[in-house]
Amino acid sequence: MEGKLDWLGAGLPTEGTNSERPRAGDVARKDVPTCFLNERLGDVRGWVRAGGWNACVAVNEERVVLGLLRAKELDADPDLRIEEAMRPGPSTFRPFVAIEEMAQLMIDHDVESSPITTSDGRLVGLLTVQDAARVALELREAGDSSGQKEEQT
Amino acid sequence: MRRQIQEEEEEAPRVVRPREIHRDEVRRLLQDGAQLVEVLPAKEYEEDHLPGAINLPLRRLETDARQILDPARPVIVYCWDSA
Repeated sequence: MEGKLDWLGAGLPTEGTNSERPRAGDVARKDVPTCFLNERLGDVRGWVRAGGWNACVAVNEERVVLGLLRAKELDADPDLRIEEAMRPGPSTFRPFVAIEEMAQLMIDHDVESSPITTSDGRLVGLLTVQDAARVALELREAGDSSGQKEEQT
Repeated sequence: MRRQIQEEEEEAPRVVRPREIHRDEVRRLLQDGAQLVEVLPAKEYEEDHLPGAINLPLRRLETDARQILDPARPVIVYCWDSA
């Protein structure tokens, strides 16, 4: 078999202490809108924003990530094709990265959102810095409160 | 002489050589009852391992495999990556 790294990279479930803590693939939004390269930006922008989103991931038929459109790209000339408007080849992360690590990384590098993909490049979901930071903070507070309970007993 | 060699080869146990497989085949074989073995150190196994895998660190593989593994079932062995 290719190894544990390949299994983790595919977002497949594991057992063990790491699997009990949230990871990038667990927190990423699976319902992120996706679009194809040849679609018209104006059409895509319409239904993306109607769905309450301000981001869209450009993929191919196999759901391999090709580009990313955030607010700035979505606001471009509506007659552009997605291929022309998108941010090509965005940085992506694997599903098994710990959420605390992701939150820190996204804050440090001012990353608003990032596609989470398998090692094959297929989209798992979109992770926002807000979601990553929120879950990381919840984990820290849960860790702090359990530590206080141990001190009291 | 040739007949003796042929008889010895027929009596010798059949040795199945290992081969590399993809994760899709891993899942299929596990459904069919294959045994899954992680050969990384115990600490790494405790952090993350494939569902149902047992831990047989490499240095113990030769000594413990015969006692722990069922020779009648396929065995899938994995490490961190394919390197």
